[in-house]
Amino acid sequence: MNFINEGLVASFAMLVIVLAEILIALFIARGGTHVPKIRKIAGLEAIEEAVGRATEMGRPITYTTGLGGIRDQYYYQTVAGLNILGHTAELAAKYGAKLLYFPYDPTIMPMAHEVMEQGYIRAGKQEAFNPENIIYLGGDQFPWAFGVLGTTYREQSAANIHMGPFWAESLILAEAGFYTGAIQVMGTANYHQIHFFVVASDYALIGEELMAAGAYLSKDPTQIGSLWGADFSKLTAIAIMLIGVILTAANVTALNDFLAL
Amino acid sequence: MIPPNIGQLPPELDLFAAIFGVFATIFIYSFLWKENPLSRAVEHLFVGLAAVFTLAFMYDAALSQAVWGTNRLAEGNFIWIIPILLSLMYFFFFSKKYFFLYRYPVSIVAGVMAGMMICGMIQSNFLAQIQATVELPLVGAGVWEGWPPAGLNSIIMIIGIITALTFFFFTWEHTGALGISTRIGRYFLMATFGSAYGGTVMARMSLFIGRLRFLYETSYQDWFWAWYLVPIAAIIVILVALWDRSKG
Repeated sequence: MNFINEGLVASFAMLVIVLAEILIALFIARGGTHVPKIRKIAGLEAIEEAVGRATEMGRPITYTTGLGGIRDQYYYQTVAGLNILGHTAELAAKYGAKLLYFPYDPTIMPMAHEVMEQGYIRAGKQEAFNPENIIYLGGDQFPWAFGVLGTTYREQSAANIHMGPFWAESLILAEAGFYTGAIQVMGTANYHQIHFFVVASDYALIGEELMAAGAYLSKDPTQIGSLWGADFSKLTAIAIMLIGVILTAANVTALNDFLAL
Repeated sequence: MIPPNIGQLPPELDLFAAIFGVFATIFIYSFLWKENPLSRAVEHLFVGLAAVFTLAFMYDAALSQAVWGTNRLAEGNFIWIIPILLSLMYFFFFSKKYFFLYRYPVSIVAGVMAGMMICGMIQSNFLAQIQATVELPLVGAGVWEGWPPAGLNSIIMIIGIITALTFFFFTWEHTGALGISTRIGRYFLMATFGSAYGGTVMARMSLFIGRLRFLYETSYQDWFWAWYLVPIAAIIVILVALWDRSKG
């Protein structure tokens, strides 16, 4: 039996390097030897401002996690969106604001329910949690988007928060916030939609900033360690690129040959 | 199983489909003027249909994947009982006593997906990007000829990729040399977003044009009914909106 899949050797080597960097950084941070500080992410800081504004205006907050679920390749963005949902729920409970959440994939409804309830529990207001504020609007892109648009308009949301994977509905959602004059905080790692969020929202989380939210909000050393390890993997990528560019310019193809393995 | 021709109306209902399609389109677009009872009605209809469709599609997909498909449960392959039982465990969400059991399928699905995706992610989002950068032409015949020379584009791209990557360092202070790099990276990101925005807006316009073409070209037995229906639908929207306003 051949255990080596040609064409994936370099991928495997990279996977081992990246995992090693993340695990080492994670264990160092968890052990308390060094827990790095995370740089300020304006989009996440703005959530409290958005919740506060909604509370002052006596109007609700609209929240979605995009079109992803936990069964697709975008699940990591959905999970990041749910992390921020928990934080938003905690803030909403603390200030007494109404939080409306619109799941797209029915399988994340129970997760969202639990995440929101935990947020209310952390704020010491479990009794204020209302499961009916999790509103299922069908699992089809444009009906869902139109449902969010209509509900946002009727409820006159004062804060519009969208975190997760988005596609062509992103501007429709931004338009909903524009109609109601809501403060808009949006984030996605879908590179084909980031520009819409940058243009249409007050604060945008760009790409990996969304995934950093879990560590940023929880201040959990394990999660911060994982983020630190991911920084090292990016540094590794930069180093390989620079070495590769210099070698290629010198007509040495050893690195290119290895990457193609 | 859901019949393969589901969603296709019989020819005798073409007229109904044309009328319904035109009215639904106008009622939905009337939201751009103002939210009104007709746009709300179509919105609810749209959402309801999507919910029913998702339910039917998932039920059908689950049965055809695990029960009725080739070499599945119905043909004696009992290993498929495991995913079926795991799926059914989702319903423990509704039980106070056995609530914890619902977490197992969620954890398993999330774990399996993480394991399955990480290899593909390393290949497409990490290795392929490094490979493409390393292979950018910097030397060789014709690389520095013409305007703009391919070599100059390569240098701009290398600087853009590296500085944009440094923008996503989260655990190191963006000060000193790293601060300069992240600032340059931010400019590259903004230029990319601007260019992508222009391109995608055009694509969105084509979606709208597609809907206009539907109105323009919808016919029934060579009669272009949509032409007559659009003004009727528009008048109905105005009347209903005025009625809604008169109610206060």
